[in-house]
Amino acid sequence: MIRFLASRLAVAIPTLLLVSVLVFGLQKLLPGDPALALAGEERNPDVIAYLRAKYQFDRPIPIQYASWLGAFLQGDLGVSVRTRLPIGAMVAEKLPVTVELAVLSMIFAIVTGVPAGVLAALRRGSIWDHLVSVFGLAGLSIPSFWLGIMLILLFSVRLGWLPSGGYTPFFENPVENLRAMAMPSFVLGAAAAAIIMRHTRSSMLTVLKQDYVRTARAKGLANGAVVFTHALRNGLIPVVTLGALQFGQLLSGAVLTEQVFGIPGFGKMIVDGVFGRDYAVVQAVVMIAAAFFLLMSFLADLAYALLNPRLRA
Amino acid sequence: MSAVSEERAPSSQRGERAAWRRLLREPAAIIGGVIVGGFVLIAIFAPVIAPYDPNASDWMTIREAPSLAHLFGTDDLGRDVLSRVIFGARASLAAGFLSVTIALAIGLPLGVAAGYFGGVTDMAIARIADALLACPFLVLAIALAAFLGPSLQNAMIAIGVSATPIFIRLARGQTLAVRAEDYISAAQSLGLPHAKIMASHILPNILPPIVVQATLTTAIAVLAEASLAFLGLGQAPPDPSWGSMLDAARQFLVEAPWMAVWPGLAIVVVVVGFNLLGDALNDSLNPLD
Repeated sequence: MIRFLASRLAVAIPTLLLVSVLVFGLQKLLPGDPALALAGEERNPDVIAYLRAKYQFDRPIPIQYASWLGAFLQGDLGVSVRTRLPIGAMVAEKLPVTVELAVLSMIFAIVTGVPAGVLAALRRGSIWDHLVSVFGLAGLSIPSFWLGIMLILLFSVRLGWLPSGGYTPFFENPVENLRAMAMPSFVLGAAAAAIIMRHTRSSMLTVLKQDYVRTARAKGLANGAVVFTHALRNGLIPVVTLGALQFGQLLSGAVLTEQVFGIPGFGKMIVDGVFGRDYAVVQAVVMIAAAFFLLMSFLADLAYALLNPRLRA
Repeated sequence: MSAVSEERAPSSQRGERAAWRRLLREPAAIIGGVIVGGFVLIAIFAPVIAPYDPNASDWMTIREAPSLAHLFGTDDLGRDVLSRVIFGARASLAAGFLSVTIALAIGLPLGVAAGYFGGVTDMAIARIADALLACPFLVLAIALAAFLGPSLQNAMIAIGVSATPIFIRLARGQTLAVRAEDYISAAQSLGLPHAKIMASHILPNILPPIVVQATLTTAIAVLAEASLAFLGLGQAPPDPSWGSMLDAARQFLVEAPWMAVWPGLAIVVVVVGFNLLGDALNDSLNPLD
């Protein structure tokens, strides 16, 4: 198993390095003087001179890349030209908000997706199976930002039950925090729930056809015992892997969800970075999102290795 | 056509016919096909179908609720929402089809070459695809669109490039499976050039999963275009796009909720159409799955 995980890590690290080359290369797409472009709206010659010196724009490109990556690895993500704050401090402030949103969304996705998928597999062809298919298709097809707008229209504008946006830190007021996060978590989790539902269903259908399940039934075990102790345990292995990968993808969806609900998180940071022409922020956010995704892929492999007895040796 | 592929032709034609028959029996395929086909017609004949000029503002009809004169109501500038939804189909479908075409044009040759040649070529291409796949799809598309500048054309390029690694990976995997087949060895032993083998012998045999993925990716691309337009990185105003219409509608949820309902429904219906079609194609082209 250690060899399996080491081989995965050996792929993840060069991949992250390649991401850094791509992210660095993006900056080269900007027309004109990169220092001017990085400075965005800022036209102060001191700032431009500082950026030119910091990123060594007068040196050859490989040296520029090495110094950028070196600073990045030491935790120096640069300074936002818009807020003038260190990007590292901004990330430290915004990331926990998005992580909370992602965790709540994932809980929602698992709590609804897994039982629904199991039910659809056990009652194949029934009304439940068709309902799960319809919800699965809807979850994949409804744009999260539109779902968010429709929920605001219903629960905030019409019924006045939930706040339409904003964010209260959990430790300041847990009830207000959860009220504010209810709709965003549902919106962000809906697509993940649909994907988990579809995969749980197909994985369970495969497992339920296996010989050992037939054996368990043949020796007279109760249906519940067959499903929960024998089938589910193996049927959920691919779902755990998928769940970790989905969690890594939630950052992508958080961009839109945070925009709709005005949540000051990591996703909103990238949109603000884009519109403030704050390219250093965009670079940092893409790098961190990729690192997070690779970490989640690695954890998915780890979970797979731990759960799959064939890899446990 | 070479001798090798002629030899395979009858059985593959039979397979194709069987796949078509299976596809036409799938209700999902018919519903999906009707939806997608319907919206393509709407986009093409938008000037004929739309009751009003989609960009013509009328200060006398600002934020009017749906009525017989304006079936979907009017927006904050007095423009007819129905006409804007009809014309918005153009941006959405163009983005869906063109960005997938870009992704296919880059991804297919790279993926097939990686799988066919193996070695260093494979390693280089597969690693780049992995690196692109590590960046969350929408974050990458937003970053690219931001660096290229906001416009529909740049949004399509950004979405196309972001979707490219999906096709590189798929084409590479399929090519690896096909490369070991006898008819490829036969073509190689006949001395056919590599490009000819890849184009005439590998590509036709790996197409079914690619077609399925392309259909499903078109759904993702339509959603991505709407998302970019919603964020202000797509179609420039005043030309309508469903995403930017939703962005404008957010300001008037209390006064004019209809502004938010129709463009969103249009996105959902088109995306459902592509997803149904993709699932049905998958079932009919890969009956063993």
